[in-house]
Amino acid sequence: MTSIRRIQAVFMKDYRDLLKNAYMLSTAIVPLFFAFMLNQEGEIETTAAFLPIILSMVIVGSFIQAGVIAEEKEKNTLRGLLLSPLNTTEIFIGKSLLSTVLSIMMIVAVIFIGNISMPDQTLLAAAATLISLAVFISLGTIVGLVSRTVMETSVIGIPVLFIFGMGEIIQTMIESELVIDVMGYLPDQQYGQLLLNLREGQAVGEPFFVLSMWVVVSVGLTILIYKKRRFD
Amino acid sequence: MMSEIIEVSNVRKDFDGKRALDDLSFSIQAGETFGFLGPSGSGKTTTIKLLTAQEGYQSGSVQVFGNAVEALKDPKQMKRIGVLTDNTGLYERLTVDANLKLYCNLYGLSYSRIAEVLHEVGLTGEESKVVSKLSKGMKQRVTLARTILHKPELLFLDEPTSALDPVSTERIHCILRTLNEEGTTVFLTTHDMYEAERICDRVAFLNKGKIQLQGPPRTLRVNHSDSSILLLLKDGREQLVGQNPEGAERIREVIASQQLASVHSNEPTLGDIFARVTGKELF
Repeated sequence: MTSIRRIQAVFMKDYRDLLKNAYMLSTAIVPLFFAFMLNQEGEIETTAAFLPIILSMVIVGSFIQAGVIAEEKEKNTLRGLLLSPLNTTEIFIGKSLLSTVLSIMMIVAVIFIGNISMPDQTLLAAAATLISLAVFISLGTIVGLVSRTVMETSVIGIPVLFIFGMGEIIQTMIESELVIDVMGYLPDQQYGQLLLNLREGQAVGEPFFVLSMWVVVSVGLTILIYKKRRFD
Repeated sequence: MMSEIIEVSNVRKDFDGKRALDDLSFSIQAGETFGFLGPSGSGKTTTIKLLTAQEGYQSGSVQVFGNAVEALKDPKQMKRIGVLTDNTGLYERLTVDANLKLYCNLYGLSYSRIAEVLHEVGLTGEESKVVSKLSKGMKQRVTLARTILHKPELLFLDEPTSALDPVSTERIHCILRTLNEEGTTVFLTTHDMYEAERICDRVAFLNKGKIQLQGPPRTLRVNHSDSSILLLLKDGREQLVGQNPEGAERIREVIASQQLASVHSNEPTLGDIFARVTGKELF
């Protein structure tokens, strides 16, 4: 049975640990600078307007998550947790909670600092943000699980997260229509499109559906990799 | 009457086609301290991983608390064991107190248990220290404190005193003896024959994944003794005499000549026996 107390224990430990981790803390505030720079650009009418939010998900949701998981493996602390009464679900939720809370705080902060014009449909926008965040946290967990050290999360994670989180920028460097079309289905692109559609009063069914599929695939893949590699 | 808490029968474990454990069979009774002796790579850590359901195996059976070892994946069963791995596994940036609080919360224990367990391992007053600032011996004691925090019935220790100084080693031995006296069953791996002899009720010699010999250390030593007696003379010389009329006559002569400093049994150490049985040194 899943225990809230045990999940909370993992969260509190991660929180205390993060406060003493200068590398992670300095990484976490990077999106704030992007938001500040974007604010200087004035009103943006494309999905690029939401880039600081996506960067918050990539940097805080994915990178910090990957670092937290990889460090547990690198320092052999994950084994201690696995040999305690914690079950798989509690470890998953507990280890993702800090990145989730921190990402949400960072997203709120970049919206204000970047003066990002969000859609009026707050609930739908929040739901889309949470769904996208789930995808990025799962991607971070996968990178953390396949990396043996925190350093490796950068080596493995940067190319992966560059593709999954910075499609907006990559698309400007590619000429192939096919590749651009395929990249349009990446989670960051779908999230940006969804928020833009909401803001402009257009239909959001398709991006919601694609994002939901990303959640299913990424969470499924995370569970699969976790079962295979948790003790490595 | 003591009951068997661990029963391993004919276990085979392969890693990528390479045999790690071969026809492994042994049992441990409740309240025993059982030592697994063997050089690095002999399969000691793999055995602990098997006994704590961290690894599977190809054939044979492993029972812990009378159930198949897989039952340990149930959190209720997991609470009955404590595992000290070959790495401290402590959160280095956090304090001793924060490390132990995490496990108090995971096991549903009161924080008052922290003071108790720190007293048990001789670390009272060290709770506010950051783990990274502790000595290796102190870190190992914090790890042991974490391992025994929930008062497990069965303790698995993977080389608990490896690379520790003699004082820290002695402290750990004292703690283990006390825990054992209180009824905790201890399974430990070591390549330190002195450690095995001091704290184990029974030992097994493991070499290339196979148990070569097992029994109480004292029995093993007596059984492998050649019954000779070592005489240490006052001039520093040593003389080995047999337990026979010639040997008795020689001892009488030495005593009469007032040359005798001391008389010793010539029993082999566990290390000597291991070398004889396997043709290898423990290190």
